[in-house]
Amino acid sequence: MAATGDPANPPLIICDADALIQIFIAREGELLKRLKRRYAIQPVVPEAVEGEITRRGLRNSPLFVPGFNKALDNGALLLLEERIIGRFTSNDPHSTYNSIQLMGQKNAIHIGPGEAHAYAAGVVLRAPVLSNDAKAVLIADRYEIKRPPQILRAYDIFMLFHQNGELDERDCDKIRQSLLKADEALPFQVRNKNYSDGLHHIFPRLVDEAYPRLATGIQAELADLEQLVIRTAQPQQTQTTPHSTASGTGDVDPSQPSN
Amino acid sequence: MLKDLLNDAHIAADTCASLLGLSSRLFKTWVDGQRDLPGYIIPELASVLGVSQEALATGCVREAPAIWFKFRESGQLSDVDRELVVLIRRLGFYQHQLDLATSAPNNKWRILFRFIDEQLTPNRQASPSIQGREAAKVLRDQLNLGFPRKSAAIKGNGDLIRPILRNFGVLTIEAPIPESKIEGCSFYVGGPGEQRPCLFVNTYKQDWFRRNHVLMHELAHAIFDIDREAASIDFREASDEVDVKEIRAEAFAAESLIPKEMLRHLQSMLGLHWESLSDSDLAGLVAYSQIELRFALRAALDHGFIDAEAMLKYQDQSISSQLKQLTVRALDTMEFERVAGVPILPVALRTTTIPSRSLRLPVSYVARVVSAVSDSVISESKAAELLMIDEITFAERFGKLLEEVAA
Repeated sequence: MAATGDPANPPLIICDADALIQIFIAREGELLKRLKRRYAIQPVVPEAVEGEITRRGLRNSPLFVPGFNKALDNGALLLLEERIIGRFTSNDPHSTYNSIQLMGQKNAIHIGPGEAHAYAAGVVLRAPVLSNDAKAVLIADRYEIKRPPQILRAYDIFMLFHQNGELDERDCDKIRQSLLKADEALPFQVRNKNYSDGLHHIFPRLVDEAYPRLATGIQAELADLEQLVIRTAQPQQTQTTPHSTASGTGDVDPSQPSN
Repeated sequence: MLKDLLNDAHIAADTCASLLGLSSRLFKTWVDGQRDLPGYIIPELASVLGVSQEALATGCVREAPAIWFKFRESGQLSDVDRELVVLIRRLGFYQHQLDLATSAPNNKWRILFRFIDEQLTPNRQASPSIQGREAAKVLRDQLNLGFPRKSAAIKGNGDLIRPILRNFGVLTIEAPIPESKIEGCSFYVGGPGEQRPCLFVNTYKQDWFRRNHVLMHELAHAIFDIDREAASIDFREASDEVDVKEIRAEAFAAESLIPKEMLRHLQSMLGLHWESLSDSDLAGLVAYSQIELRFALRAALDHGFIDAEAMLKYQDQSISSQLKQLTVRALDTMEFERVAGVPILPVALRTTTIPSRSLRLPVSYVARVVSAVSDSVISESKAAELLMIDEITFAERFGKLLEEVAA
């Protein structure tokens, strides 16, 4: 595992279907907006991910499709179409788009179309990817599929907003329960633990440099994935007050910056 | 352009979207030209519609490929049949992807088909049945199809042809489609340059012995006809029309599965007296030739082993119970599981949920997909896509099995 030294927030994060589905099932689509507002990181979705999420016949689709469509409508999520790619690269948008499609199609022989194109977009645009599928990472390595150095899980987003105080433990426990209720898979380190116990076992792949780190697990699997360290893009005028203070993870109020 | 293609194919946009498992709203934006076709869907859509990826991407195809006109022309085809063709072609695309992922051979068929074609050149002016028989002789020789031996584990041509065809890169799909009158069909799947012949056999109310016959019949169409005609379709109820292509395909199927030498071999091995065949004899004939009784008797008639009167007499004899004693291929699923002690993947685990019209996937295909996940060749999400189900359903159906294998 490596951590980026000097935090420079990426301008975008590429979202895969499985992670987004969890965010919407947890009714936390607002966090995507906050990523943009607080950290100036725009969540984007490859078209293949849009196709996957809106696919017919998916179980639980009423739990996440409305939230997904709403996020696209209000700009919390951007569709990674050719016409908007120019915002994120200085290269020719047409050839950049084609590179993503070609790499995505090649990747899609071994991994699902959403993650295949998310990985491709992450590599071409040098952006982190939000994708839950650990097995896809292993398969990508085995078949020399290029993948971005930073692959985050939906859980990392929840932990980030717990770390910076915008969510508290009770919120996170609710999120965890709603995911379990919908048969959604959680990271194996926290599968049979409540949220606060789980923090001792899970390694956070996304952290805010200004706040104490709450999750204290060690990166055992996928050890080469880099931790993404980010910082608030602009100073917040008012500090968000959490609903309750964290417990079991140290005596520091997570809503207060550590420096 | 997509709109024109769908119009030509007589497939409504909403139907096409639902068969592909796509959101109607999203698909409509592509059909109406409100949004460009995204790159990720082009390979699958091009394969299903039978156009090149480049043409679909650039929008330069204005007319549907021949296959859709072929399917339109046939008065016997219903909307259901056309929809099933979309699904079968989609499955063909996924099988092709699975072969790419597992590095299975996918283009040796070209060499085989070309070789058969070359060997047939001196017989170009011959009758269709001679052409069919000569081609089948070349095929038998190239595939090393031999004669069955009387042993506990019968290995006949029916057992051999599927893995052999797969090894040559010919896709075979056997699935039950109760609503369709189609018995079998053959066509290419994949875009230009990576096309592969795909043979489809409707297994609904057709036993394994009959399916062997249909499979070889469709192979003949794939070798001789689909290059020119885009697709070949055979219906359950045979037409009375004399069709050169059908005569050739039927002769090919007969010669490849039960040539005269095979009948002699069976006569000697089973001690057959053609003038007085018992039920057990007839069951042996079917069990070892691995083709249905009528087809075997027809071959015996054609080669002069029996006369027409005997054929009529024998073909009505009931051999079901004797056949079950001789080969597990005659057993139904439950009987097979009991005898073999091996559970077959239940239908519920093989039924698609994403397309609006569900499809029962072949056991061998599902097993290969699950095995590819177990061997970490493909991810679960890819497997779910290939099985046309969602990831939660995949985990429910196969999660425990995969955990057991991993342990």
